[in-house]
Amino acid sequence: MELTDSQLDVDTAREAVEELRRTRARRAARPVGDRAQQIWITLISAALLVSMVAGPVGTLSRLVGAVLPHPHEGRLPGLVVGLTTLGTAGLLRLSLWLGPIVLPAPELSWLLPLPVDRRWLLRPRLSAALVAAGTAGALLGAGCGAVAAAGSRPGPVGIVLAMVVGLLLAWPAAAVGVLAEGSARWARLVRGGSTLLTLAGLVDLSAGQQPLGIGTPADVLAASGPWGWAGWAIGGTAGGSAVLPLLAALALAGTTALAVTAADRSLATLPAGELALRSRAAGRAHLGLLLLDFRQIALVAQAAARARRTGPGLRLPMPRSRLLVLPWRDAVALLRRPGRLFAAAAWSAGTVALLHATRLWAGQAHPGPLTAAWLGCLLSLGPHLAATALVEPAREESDRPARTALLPFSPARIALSHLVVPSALLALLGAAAAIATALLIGAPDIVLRTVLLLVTAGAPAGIGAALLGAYRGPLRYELLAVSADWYGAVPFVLWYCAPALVTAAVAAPLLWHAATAAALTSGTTVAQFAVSAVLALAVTVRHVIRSVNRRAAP
Amino acid sequence: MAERLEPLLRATDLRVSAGDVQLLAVPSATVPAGGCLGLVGVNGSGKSTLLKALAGLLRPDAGSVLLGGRPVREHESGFRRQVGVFLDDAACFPDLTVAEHVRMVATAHGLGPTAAERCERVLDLLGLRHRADARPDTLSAGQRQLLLLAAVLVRPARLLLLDEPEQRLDTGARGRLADALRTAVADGTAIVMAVHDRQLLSGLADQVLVLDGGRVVDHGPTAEVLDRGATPWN
Repeated sequence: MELTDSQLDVDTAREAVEELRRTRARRAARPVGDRAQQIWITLISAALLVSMVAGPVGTLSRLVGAVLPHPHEGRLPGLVVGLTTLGTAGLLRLSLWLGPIVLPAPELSWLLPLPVDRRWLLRPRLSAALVAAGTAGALLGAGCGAVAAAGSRPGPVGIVLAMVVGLLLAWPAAAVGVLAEGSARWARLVRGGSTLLTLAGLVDLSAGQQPLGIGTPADVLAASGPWGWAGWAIGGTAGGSAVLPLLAALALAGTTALAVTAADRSLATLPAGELALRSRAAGRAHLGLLLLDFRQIALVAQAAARARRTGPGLRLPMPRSRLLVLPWRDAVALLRRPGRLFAAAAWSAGTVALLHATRLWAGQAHPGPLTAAWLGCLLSLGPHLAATALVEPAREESDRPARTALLPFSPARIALSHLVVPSALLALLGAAAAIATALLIGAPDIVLRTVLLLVTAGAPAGIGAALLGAYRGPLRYELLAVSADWYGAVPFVLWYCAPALVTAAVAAPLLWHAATAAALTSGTTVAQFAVSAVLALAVTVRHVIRSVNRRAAP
Repeated sequence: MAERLEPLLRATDLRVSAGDVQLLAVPSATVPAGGCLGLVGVNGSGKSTLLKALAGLLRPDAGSVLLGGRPVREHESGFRRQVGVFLDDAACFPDLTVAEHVRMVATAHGLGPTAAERCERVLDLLGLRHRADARPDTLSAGQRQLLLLAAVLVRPARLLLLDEPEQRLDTGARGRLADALRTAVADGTAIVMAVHDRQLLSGLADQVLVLDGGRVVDHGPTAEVLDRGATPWN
């Protein structure tokens, strides 16, 4: 049957969609009082959030200030350029698997198939994406501005300027994400580009002020593109000439305008399949964020990474002994997703850097016991996140217990088998981190003791705590209903952070001593650490077995 | 012949309910070693619920399920060694290939040196050999179903509990599945399977339990039940 002209009447479809929008706008319209109340609640929430994070951010800023070379005339702080470069890479990656053009499921099913110009339908979504990206960029800019101001004069004007620059950086990143959404070639370019930017940012951060012949890595990076111009503009706010930062900001604004225009033009050709894929991913990620279930967000990222992989990947020969089957599966899962190993290594390296910074700062500031405890917990966060990255195979099983239904082992035994390979890997990473720390602070006797401690006791306890997080089951929102007072959320937060707190209880004292290099050589510290690690391992193993058996019981 | 043997699996007076709604009421169901019991009925008739109760995945409100005279406990490794379970929520490991899945299960069940050979035989039998190096997310729904069935069939088992194993399979694959299940029965494995495919049922099951609304409406040898013609299929 042939379609008639009236069936192809585009204007009619467009009118219908316009009417739909008007209806939606009428329903969404609220009285002025409601709007004012909403604005008031938003302001109060923002003020609460700022007051909560101001303390930790201030301490971090002082910590950074202790290690950051003071900016001086004509020289950009390499740290700021490195951070804006890494931030750009992060924003590009984010836009690759989460939008930027995200249609709600009903629009995807009902409006997208209509014979209307797709650009007209998708333009409001582009605006929404720019608002979201702009907010993220402004926050990134504020962070970089705070870092740039650390160690020199604090400047609220500088931080506001940095927020604007962050916004101007986020918009082209979102616009390039739209181009990647519409073309596989652009997607490959953005993926490769973001990897390169990550490497460049890391090189810049680790190289410091080492000259390369044509300038420091920061100088080269600062002139290489919008990521560097942003750093230049923000870095300039902390001191020095205002001309170059202004030029950098203008170049950034020009790039932003070009990128957003190109993104707008590409809207008409965005494929429906890609829009559906991103809509589903964004839906799950949004729900995960709303419910504080960050596992859902991780699963979305993993699904996106898996979709790109081809072939089985690295192979490990299957063992003949049935006892080695479970460690074999862990090893294969970690080898085929080297990102987890890299993440664990990156968290270990981050801990070394933080340890070094803490040592430099503590030497000047002589912190009290409360600050020492807080910093000890902060230092133990890296090892905990490294352990969490390594127990991903266990997470896969706790996500879908049916995966192990065909294996002739009890669920508790399967869960505890995940201690073997991740503990060995964490011990190796811990040893490398300990050696790096000892070299940094020049104390060889600490090396042996720390390596020994981490290898024998620390790693299994850290993995045990991570397994506790993997097997404890879904989020317990009922804990939020314990009390209606402000402290009602405390039980939930404690439950949420329990694995990290177990790791902190074991590792924080040792790491604090390693940072201050004061009492690590004392037998008491060693014995204290060994006892707490063994106790933590016993407690976490007991809880894992109980959780697994409780979930397995019909 | 199978009826004369001592039952391997015996369920007595099973009752399962959700709140006030009774989901299942089965007075008796038995399967001898080497026997095959087919569960039939329309969607929602209670086939999967009965299978879950038999597999120990669902705690009945009343009644008992005994395997070899002992109560079933799904989380015990002894039960897992004896019973292969294939339910509709079966899942694969995202990082392992088809062959690795099947070999892992075979090795874990202690087949050791013969695991590789057995794995190849099962993949051949189910027509999945050509996808041996593929990851689960690159398989079609039918191929994924075959992979999960291969993992159930590669291991030695006294009892197989299968929930609509023919689902998503084309005619050729259904035929190959029937052959593989016949081989398992011939080796002495007992099977309880929920099934919608009349050909698979008549070719394999020696007893049939017909369910409707969670209640047994007919029970007996397959040929007799099918001859009565009152079986609700789908």
